[in-house]
Amino acid sequence: MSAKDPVFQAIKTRRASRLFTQEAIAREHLIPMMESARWAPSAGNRRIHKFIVIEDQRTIQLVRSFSPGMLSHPTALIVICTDKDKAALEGVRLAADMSTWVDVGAAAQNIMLTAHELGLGTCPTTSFSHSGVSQALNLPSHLEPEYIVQIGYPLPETRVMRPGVSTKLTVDDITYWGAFEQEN
Amino acid sequence: MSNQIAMAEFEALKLLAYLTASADISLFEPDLYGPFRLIDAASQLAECVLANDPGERRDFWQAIKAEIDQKKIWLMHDRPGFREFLAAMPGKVAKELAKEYLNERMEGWRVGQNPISPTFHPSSLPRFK
Repeated sequence: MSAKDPVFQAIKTRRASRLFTQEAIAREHLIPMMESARWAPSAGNRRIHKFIVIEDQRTIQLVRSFSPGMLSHPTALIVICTDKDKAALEGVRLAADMSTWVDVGAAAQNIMLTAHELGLGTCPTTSFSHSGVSQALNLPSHLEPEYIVQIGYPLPETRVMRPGVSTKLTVDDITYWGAFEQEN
Repeated sequence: MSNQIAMAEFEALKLLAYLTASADISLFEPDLYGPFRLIDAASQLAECVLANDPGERRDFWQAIKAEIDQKKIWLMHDRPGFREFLAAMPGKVAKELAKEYLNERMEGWRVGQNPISPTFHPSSLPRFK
């Protein structure tokens, strides 16, 4: 794979968008995002997650009211939920099995990369009140909201930083080849 | 005399939703996210005031909101800068609030009517040269 590979490029150029236009997102764009979520890896092929796509602007505002991590004004949301009934059927012990959250992350990344490919911006949200969002969406008790993907057409963002502040993280900063080496 | 502004009950309800949700998630989020939620709530309060005609102090509210919105995300990129920004913010608010307490414009202000302390009077504040 070269650095020009489209998949690699999509991964490298995706950013969290915190400024969106108010343009509505066509259903034809949301469908491939859901297809990509469906094709995300799932531990043991258990498929214990459900996805709620929200296009209604009043519902989005209601969900946003209980989502302090939602700093932008998206025009669509995908709420990834754990289906606790399905998890019980599959014998998943949710309190101890972290793979459920790994699967949520994998599906979310697929959604965000697909959105990016379609010219849309996304921002992940985990900072929300579960009880508030559950009530806002009238979720049944067996669906637990875990993660919200905000979606919209991105606007250019200007990040004002203090002089000399660098946020660059390199591969070398996080990688140990062969074995972990203690830093001095 | 400060302006009376009318905050719609619905706006208060939205702010209540934000504050209660923030309190909820602060139970498990990193400690520094709590101050972030509070300063973001301050931005929302400023937005609400600006939408309800703050009168002659409009520039102050606009500046406060703009600074918060610009610097609050330093939480994610520049933690020392975020802390410095938070530490400096009350000073800017105090400068404006002091105008109310120390200005002769506060018509009708009398000892015993101060909501902070019934015995406090601005003239009792120490003067520094």
